[in-house]
Amino acid sequence: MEVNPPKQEHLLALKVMRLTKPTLFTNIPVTCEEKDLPGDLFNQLMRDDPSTVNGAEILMLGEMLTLPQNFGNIFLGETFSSYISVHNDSNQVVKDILVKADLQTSSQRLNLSASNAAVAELKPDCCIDDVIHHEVKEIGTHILVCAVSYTTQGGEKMYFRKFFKFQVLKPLDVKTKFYNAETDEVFLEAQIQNITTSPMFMEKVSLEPSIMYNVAELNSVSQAGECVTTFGSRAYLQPMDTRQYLYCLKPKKEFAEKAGIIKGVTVIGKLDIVWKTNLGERGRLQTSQLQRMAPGYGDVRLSLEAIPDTVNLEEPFHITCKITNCSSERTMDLVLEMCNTNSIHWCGISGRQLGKLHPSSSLCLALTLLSSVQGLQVRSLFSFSFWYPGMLTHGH
Amino acid sequence: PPLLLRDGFESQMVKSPSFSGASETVAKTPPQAVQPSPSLSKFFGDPASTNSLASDFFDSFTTSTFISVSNPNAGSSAPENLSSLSTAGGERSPGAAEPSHSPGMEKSEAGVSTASLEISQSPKPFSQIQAVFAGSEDPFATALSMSETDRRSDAWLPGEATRDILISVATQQYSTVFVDKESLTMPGLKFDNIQGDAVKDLMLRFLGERAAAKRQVLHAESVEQTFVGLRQLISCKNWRAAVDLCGRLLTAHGQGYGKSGLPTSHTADSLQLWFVRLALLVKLGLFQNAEMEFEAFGNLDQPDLYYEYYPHVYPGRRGSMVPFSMRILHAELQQYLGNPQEALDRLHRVKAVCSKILTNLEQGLAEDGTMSSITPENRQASIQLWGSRLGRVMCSMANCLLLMKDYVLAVDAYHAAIQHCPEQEPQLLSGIGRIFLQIGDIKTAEKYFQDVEKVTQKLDGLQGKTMVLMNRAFLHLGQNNFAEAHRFFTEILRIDPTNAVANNNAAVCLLYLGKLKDSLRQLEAMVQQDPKHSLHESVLFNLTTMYELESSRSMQKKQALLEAVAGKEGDSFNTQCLKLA
Repeated sequence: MEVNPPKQEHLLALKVMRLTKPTLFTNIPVTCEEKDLPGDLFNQLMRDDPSTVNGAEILMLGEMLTLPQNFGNIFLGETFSSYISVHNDSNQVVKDILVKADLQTSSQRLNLSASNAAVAELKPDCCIDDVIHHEVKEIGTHILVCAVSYTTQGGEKMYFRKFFKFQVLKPLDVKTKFYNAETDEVFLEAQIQNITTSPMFMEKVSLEPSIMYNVAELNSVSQAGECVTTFGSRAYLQPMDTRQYLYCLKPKKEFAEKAGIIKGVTVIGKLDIVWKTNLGERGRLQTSQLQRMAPGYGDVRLSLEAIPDTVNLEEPFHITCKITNCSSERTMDLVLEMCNTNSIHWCGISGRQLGKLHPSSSLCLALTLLSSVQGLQVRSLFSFSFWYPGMLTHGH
Repeated sequence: PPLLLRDGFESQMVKSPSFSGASETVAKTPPQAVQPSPSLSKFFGDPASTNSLASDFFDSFTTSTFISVSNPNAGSSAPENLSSLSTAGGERSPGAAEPSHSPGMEKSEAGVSTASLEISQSPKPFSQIQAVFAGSEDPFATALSMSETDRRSDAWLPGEATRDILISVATQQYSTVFVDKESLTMPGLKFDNIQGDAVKDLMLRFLGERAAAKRQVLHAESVEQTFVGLRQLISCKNWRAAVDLCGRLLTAHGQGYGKSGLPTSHTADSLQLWFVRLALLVKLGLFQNAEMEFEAFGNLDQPDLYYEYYPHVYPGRRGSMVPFSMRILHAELQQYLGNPQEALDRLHRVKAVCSKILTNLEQGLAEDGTMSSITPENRQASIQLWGSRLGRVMCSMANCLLLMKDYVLAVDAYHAAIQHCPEQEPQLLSGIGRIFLQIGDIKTAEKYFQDVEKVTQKLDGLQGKTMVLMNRAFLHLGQNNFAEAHRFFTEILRIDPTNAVANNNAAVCLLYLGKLKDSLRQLEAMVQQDPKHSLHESVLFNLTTMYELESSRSMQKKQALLEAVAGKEGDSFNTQCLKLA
């Protein structure tokens, strides 16, 4: 990690150590029984070993903390913490020491030092310590630049710099998919994959909706009064594991009308992801604003306002449709024609006039149907035709 | 069907061979030439039930494919054997059979020719055995009570093929039994010298010859060449020397370097020697070496690993000579070799046998499922033994799953282990809490730590309080609060000043709080005041890491640590943590 300029004899030494969380020491338990040759010796050795758990020496995961032995990986969204130590290696008192730590990325340079004031003097064998924290916000090459300036006892001003280069990697792979329901709701399925090398605990994955929508998260169910996640007992993501999160977005009342006739791209909201790894090491990322391509509706749009979830066989049930004139200029004359299928039958008069529908407005229609066949019916319900001067089209 | 020898012969059984010299000698004087000793027929009981002459008995040894050549050296030192036989009762002096001749291949080859020497001396051991019995108060009762302990401890459920072979050995005891070589265990040392002292090597490199010369460790030659000497080497952590001593003793038994694949025989003692050698290799981290030598033992279920296979050596005894702990070791080794699935499979097999034995006992049967009249106390003792063995296996399985990083299954397995080791409940629950901390699920970790607090309320004394404080400290670590974690670790030190874990962990927290010098002071004080417990890999890793962070003069300080280690640690010390290489 160190990328250093040629060495000069300096009175001070600068050392840097990345402070990832410590790890727990694991033992290798070897036991035997009283009747065996070693008797109690193996057990005694384990009891004397300070890294075993008192009273449960067979447990591999001990309680002894070990400092990190290498730099490790660092991922976007995590916090980069580092110990910076300046030590007086000489036998003279050094004055006016200024330590600066900057982080240089491809796009910016940030100052990380806790304090920018100079230290008046540093005696031999003493050190100046600093722990810096920085939430990593960019991927790619980062360079930690540490600069030390000081004055020797003889009055000579000295200066040196050290560079530490590291790469920031991407921790998550996020894919989204939109589903447009026949109602005005939009469903968002987000697939999140852990592309790091260690397990990740998803603390919070939420969708922050844009101003037009209200969001309901569909990733937990109420079971016996408690909120239980839909992910079962597997509360964490192993490397390369993927999880699907589901959200339901409903346009707010004041935007409901507009939503029906919006064309093109709309902004839905963004995903906010907070995760934790070893000993609570935290990471946080957000996606950029998620965009959805509104489905093309052409001139006329039919949507369902109300429809029951289940109906009984051969019992009439009601639905409410909304017909929206999406065009901006044409007034439409609507005629309703009902077509029966083998399983769905209309109760009403087919071929009746629905009246005129002005541009950018809609009308609601209450209709009655009955089903003669059991099971899940996914069918083209009915057709209606409308015409206006010069045009004949069918809509379904 | 009960074996022929069982009924009515128990009173004649030689005292438990695990650590008594008596039957050892019997095992080690298998003749190659066929001159039967007349006094032997006295020993093997009711003449009516045997085939007639003892000569037929000896014939079986020579004409079968199974030829025992164990301890070819025993003949040359038989007199020494006998003197130690006078130690009766529970004395563990089986080392008698392996006196101080030096190990080496040349001896074992010569063994074949010394076999004839042994024959003429063979009557002696048996008269000594009689003396042993004559001496003790109630030899038969002693033999019986010992046999209860043995029976429940050695009980095992052999696989079908093995069972068939054992039955045929029992029913055809005086005529030839042909056993396919494939079903026999023919181990041998795969490397004969791993003595060495990494600490001394480092001292030579960094501190010079004079300093290195001061380094004293026990070698295999420095101790009594017996089990006593072996235990000495183990307890002072000179495990390499201990591995070597096991090797010598096994070589004397005929299973030395180059003997792998050659027909041999086993005794309870020789298996204990193998177990200790393999266990120490694992403790030293020499997993490949252990694997090489474990291979010959297959699944630890071959017929020649059972007492029934040697009806003339262990009359009336049944069960496996393989120590239970060896089965655990055999399974666990695989996970250290990178085959955790194999480890789990082996552990499952052990678990299945333990469960079946427990079921048999609970249904009023003997361990092996046969009808038996075991007294209630003995039944209870057996249930307790097998229950604790089952607990050991379950802990092992949980550890293996943890190593595989299958945290969901590991947590379930630790919960199952709690059922069998309820006295370890708070420690196991704390351990599960730490697993959740490692995953990053701080909330669930907190729930577990709260459960521990409930459970430890009933405990009085230091242990419970320490556990609770330790867990609180860890929770704060998980919440990034190093200051609070430090406070709790320090609180533990207040009530338990010698707690090395709390000391180490408090020092680690200081580093994260930007206090390098203070952290170093704390760790150095710990190492100076209590070297016995704190010259531990993990502590030294932390210390040397911080030395490197502190200054460019870390080398001197690391060398000072080397000196401290040299004065206290045995040849098993893992020098990597000194970062001197």
